[in-house]
Amino acid sequence: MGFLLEYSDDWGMIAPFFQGLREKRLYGTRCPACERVYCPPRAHCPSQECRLAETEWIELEPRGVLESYTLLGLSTQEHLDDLPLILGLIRVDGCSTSLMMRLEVDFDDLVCGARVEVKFREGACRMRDIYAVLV
Amino acid sequence: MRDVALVAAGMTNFDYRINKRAEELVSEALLDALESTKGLVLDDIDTLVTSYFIDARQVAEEWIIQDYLGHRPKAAFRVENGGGSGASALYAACSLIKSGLSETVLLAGWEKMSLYRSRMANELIARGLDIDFDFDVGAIYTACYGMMAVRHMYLYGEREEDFARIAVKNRNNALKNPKGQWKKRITVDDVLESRLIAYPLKVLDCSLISDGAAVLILSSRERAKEITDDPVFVEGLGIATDTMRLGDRVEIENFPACRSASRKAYRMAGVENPVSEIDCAEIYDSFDTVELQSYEDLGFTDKGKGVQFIEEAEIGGRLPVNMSGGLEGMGHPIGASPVAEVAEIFWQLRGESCNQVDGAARGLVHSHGGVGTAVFVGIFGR
Repeated sequence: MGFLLEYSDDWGMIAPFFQGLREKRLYGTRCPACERVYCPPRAHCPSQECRLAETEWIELEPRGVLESYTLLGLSTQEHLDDLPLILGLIRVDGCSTSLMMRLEVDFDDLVCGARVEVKFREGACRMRDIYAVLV
Repeated sequence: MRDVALVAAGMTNFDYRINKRAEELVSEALLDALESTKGLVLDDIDTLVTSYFIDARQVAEEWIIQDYLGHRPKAAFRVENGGGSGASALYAACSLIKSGLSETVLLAGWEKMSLYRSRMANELIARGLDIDFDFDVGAIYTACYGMMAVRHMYLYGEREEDFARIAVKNRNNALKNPKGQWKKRITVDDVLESRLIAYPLKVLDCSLISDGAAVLILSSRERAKEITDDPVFVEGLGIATDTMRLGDRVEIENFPACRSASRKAYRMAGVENPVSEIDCAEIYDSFDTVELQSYEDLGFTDKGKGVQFIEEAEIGGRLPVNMSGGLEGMGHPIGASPVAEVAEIFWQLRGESCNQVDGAARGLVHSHGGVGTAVFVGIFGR
């Protein structure tokens, strides 16, 4: 016995990030006070000294470094058909945070520190719709 | 501020307890705890603090518990902090006693994971990841811990076999724990050959899916004398936090929040050298990799040297870890797990454990929620 909950999207002030995916563009946010760049984006800077300063949108080059990765033998309901699935943490160039995303690569080729490029599927609007490849 | 005493502990067997509801499991654990006291009755308890994690089939489950125990109209509330809920509930319970708001507190933790198929249990837990980012790409918690381990292996060169030794230690420790869930002796090869969940983590590197309940009864030092001749005291407590998303951290190979939480607890307890001053520890081994990383973050050894500490963490080593079997061997009913960790240290310090460390006088409990997003460390002594 179970029941299905359907939710509305809750993108709030970071909606431009998801709109950007549809245009195959990657956006992050920059704090005007400390100049840190966040991707995943944050509408306000979490550095305590910046006192939740509102950040500004900047377009990022869709390239970065693979911080770490894993090969999944189990996932959530919606993604079971995609197994085996490779996920990685990508530090997009110039950012101080990393995005978790799918990798379309041969698992045996992976090493921490590898250079990667972010790719966008047609009509992308969620994180699951972008992926990274080795360059 | 007043000293806090642990005066009783109790727990159910951890297993698939399909024939008991949550409130029936909590009652079983509570009766177990009351049995060891000098006639403490429910009437003597002024406040109930509760802990469970998954709000899916039933929400506000704490209300069923307080009602079932006949606790009305006394104070009761739930503390939620992911997998660390039970530990944060202990933190709250200690605050109540230290401040004088309460005299005698019952802390009850439970979870009924068997209500969900194991795949769905993983999904419900994964909803504690950022829904629009990490969850959306198909991550489960094991994926995040797998990535942490891959980074640690990249920097310090551990092999999968090293982590497997911890799974073997903990699961084989559980064979002596009559309340533990794991009942089969295993080897490193068993771990290596088990099914992949998220590289490098196989199913035997992961904690169990369990039902169960655990309780603690806490009081002021003065009140403790009336309840037991053998109290254990809370010497140090620390909670520290980190980002929710793993990717938002500078350091992903270890747990910075564990370093902060442990240093707070050590300072409060006056611990300068944990390995020589602490006799035994229960570490939150949701995955065996966490135990290895935590040896380093708790200061048992230097960063990158966790592998060399594994033999010290065996029973008979310098600082035995997870005598109960831990979450991998004893079991992991989420809301109850940290409470059971503290219960094991309580029994160790009273010389009553099923897997007793000789002369244990001071013990450590480590617990956390999220990917080390909220870390708790507690120091307990005679």
